[in-house]
Amino acid sequence: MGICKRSWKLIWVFFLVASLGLWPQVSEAAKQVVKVGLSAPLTGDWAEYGNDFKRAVQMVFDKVNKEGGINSTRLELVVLDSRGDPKEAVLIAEKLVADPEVIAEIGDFSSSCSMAAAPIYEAAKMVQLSPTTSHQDWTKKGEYMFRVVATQGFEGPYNARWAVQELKKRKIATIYINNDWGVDANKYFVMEAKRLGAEVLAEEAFTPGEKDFTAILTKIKRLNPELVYLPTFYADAAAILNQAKRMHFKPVVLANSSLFSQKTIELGGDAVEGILIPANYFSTDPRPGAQRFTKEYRELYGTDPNQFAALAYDAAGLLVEALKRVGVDDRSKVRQGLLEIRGFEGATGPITYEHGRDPAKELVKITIKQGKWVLYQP
Amino acid sequence: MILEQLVNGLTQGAVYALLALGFTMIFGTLRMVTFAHGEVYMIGAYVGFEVIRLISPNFFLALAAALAATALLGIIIEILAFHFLRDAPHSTSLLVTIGVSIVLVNATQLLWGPETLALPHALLDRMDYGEVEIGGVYITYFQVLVMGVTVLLMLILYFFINRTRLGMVIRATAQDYEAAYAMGVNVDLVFMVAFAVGSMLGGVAGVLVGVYYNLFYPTMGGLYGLKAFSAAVVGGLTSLPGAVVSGLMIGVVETFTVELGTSSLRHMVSFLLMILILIFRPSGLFRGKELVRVRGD
Amino acid sequence: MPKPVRELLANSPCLAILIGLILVPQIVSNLYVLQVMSFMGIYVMLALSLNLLNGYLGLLSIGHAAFYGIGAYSSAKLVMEAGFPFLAAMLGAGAVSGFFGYFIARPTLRLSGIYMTLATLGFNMVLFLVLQNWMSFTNGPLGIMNIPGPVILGWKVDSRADYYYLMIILVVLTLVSMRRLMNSRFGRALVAIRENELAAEAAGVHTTRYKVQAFVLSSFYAGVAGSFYAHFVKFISPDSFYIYESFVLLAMLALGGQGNLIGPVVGACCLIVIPEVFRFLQEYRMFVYGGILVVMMLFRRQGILGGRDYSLRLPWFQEKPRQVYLRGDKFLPEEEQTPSLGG
Repeated sequence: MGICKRSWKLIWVFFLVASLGLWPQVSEAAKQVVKVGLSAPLTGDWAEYGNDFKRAVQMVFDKVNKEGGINSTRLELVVLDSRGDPKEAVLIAEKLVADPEVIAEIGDFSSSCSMAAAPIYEAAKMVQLSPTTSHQDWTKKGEYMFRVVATQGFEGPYNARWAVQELKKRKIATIYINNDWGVDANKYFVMEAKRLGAEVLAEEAFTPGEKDFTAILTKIKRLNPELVYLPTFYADAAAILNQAKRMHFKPVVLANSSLFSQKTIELGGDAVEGILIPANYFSTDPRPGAQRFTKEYRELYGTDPNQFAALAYDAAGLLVEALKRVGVDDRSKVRQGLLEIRGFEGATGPITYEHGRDPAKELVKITIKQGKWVLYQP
Repeated sequence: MILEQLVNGLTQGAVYALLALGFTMIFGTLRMVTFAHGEVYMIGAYVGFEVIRLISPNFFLALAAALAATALLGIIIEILAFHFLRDAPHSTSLLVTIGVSIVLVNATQLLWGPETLALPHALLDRMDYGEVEIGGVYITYFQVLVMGVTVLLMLILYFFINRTRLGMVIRATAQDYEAAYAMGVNVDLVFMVAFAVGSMLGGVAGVLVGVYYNLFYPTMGGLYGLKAFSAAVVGGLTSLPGAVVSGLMIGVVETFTVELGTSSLRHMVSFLLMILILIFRPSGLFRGKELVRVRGD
Repeated sequence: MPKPVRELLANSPCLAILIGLILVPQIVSNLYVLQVMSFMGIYVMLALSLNLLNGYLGLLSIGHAAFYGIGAYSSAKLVMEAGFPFLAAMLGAGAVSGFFGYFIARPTLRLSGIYMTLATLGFNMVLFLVLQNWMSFTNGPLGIMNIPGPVILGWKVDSRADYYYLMIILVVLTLVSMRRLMNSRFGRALVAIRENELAAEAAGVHTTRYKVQAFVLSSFYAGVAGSFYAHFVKFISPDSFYIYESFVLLAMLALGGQGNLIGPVVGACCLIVIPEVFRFLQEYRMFVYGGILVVMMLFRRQGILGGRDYSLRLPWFQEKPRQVYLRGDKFLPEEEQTPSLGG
């Protein structure tokens, strides 16, 4: 009983301390620091991508702070874990908005999180700058939503034109991940491919977390498509292609920009050889922005960055650029700062918000040759 | 086409069957539902991964290491969730296993990182066991191994439970642990052994699946754990052959759902099957006899 | 002293708490705190509804998020497509969810409890997959967005404070109705079933009927909570109703204690506050969460409040306290060990 009583008391003390922590803390060095929120999944199914965000953004902020900050104000990153759950993203948004020191937010990773949180940022006139949210309607939910990645409404048709017009593939099958991103990615691709006269033999969805694709592949193999389109993440794509290889099924494979990562090659081995993707960024990209990012990231973390890190790096870079223009006192001004940016040289190519908050992106066609990502040459 | 999908379904089903065997072993003896089984499977996979990567690309060595690790883990979970809570309501043990599974997933994420890991392909090639071709269908020896191991383990387990002395003790304890205790059985030890054996089955599945798909990630236990659950229910929760047969069956049914319908219906089919079985034939597909009396619910 | 005055005085602590809660939006300007408290309200309702089954009836449902999800989706659909006013949609959502509760409970409750437990798990998974895959109806993983905010008899619920007040009203209604229920024949029947089903049956309690009724009621409350959630967050997607959410509810009951009305409230509040407080811990946060479950279950499994009903009435108006034990509770002190019904 003794242990029970004592642990009970400890628990009470714990809750008291915990409830004190809920009230927003007032920082002492209020004037010299400005905070930026990062809402990203650090646990759960999408944890690895959230960590990419965290690393890339932290890298930019550290660099800015080392160079003396913005108008001698230090940038502080507040990382909050959304677990990929829209409800968490809403709470994070409310927390960030309530803290007067937070000037803007970067994130979230998934479209459903960003969509759920958008009205709160909109009401608070705080910029919600997401590296990866690709849902068409998200930026239409308000005036303060900015994205870095190309929407699926852009990338899907781009891929479809590549497949049908350039590669002359008429019979296409798709395997997509059944989440908010995959459904859209598949939809826009299929729509455009059909419009261009291609025949879509099968559209197969799989539940996130599933790793057995043999049944889907057997079915698709028999339909004998000329091209297989894979709107998935890299672990899934690697699994799909490894299993296809075991069945001696070697179709031409086109996938999404989400696949750009060393991990694809590491996980896929020679099964991913020859896979085609459009890239926002790739590590041997000759563009100066990309070169600079690759070098910095390698020096700091010792590995090659992937696309998600590159997009987050650009988000952070854009935000710094905007803050340099409009200062760090008023969060509602950040929007104007972002809109004014011209010719920002990002790791994922030049970005401007001149014609709206969905940037026009130049995609680069790349492929894997002998275990390396290289520019695609027809 | 039918043969090919059958092979796919049986391979997938073998994994469900292995996990369901573990569930059945644990539920059958302790009358306790564990939610940490998927995570035990995941830990087994990671241990196998480390052994192959660091020590030697020997599948059986990895298996042995995973067995040892999951047996230990099983004993820890048994002590936490069952030993201390023998008289507690069902929900208490269940909640402990849920807590353990959350802790395990997050510990793995911190130790190995959240990203998906894979064995280097050079190592895998050294473990390559080849393939056979039967009428245009390629079957890798590894697929045969997965199925073989499942059936073998079921047979061993069946023999162990029904023919050995320890098996008899386990059966007696499962039936009425108070009576068994009165007869001088070390009930605590029996429960621990049963839980360890059940967990080891999860560990075997982990290594098999991990190496087969060559993907290791912290949340790999989630969906598989739940699927195995439905397999165990369909098999009647207390019957070892039932677990294996229904595991294989669910694998095949799923595959043919993909083949004849659409892939997104695949998981729904197995959970629907589980609900229907619970509603119309709660003793499982393969048991015509009366319900096992469930104690302490 | 006349009875109404006496009652009012006796319940003054409750009233004080209520007035305090009503004043919160006036005192606290931080909208984040209000938002967290509104979420707390949702979970208080959910935990209380689950408590009906897991606490009072002694069954174990581990798929309660399914009913919460059904409520959220049906309410959104009723308002957006059938043009229902908010209140009707909220009740409708509860009814739909209750119907599904009946559908699950009716066949499985004849059997031993574990089968119902497993059926709830299976149902939660099936529901999640249906929401995920039935593109034409639920919009699949893309979710339903732009759900309109509630309008109740001309009161347009819009600001955070409005939502907060609506939540308080709902929570108070839930608490009052549950309290009345539990003090009625119905509530006593449930406890009797939990303590000893055979004895209850022998005493003339129609056990299966009561169990099914309790299940339907519990699903109804969960559905109403889901309806509030849908119109509060204005965006719903299947991710919010995964089996994980059900586990969170179980943990709330475990933490606060069940079989009474205070425990679930305390548990829900704590488990909403704790992850918020530990958000700065980032990836270590879930550790705390899992750890709490294990530690609580091992060392204080009747919950923080110790499984007894704390009456909030002033002590000198106190009625004789009613002890509620969980069956097989060996941690009860010696002198409190009373033989249970029929034991």
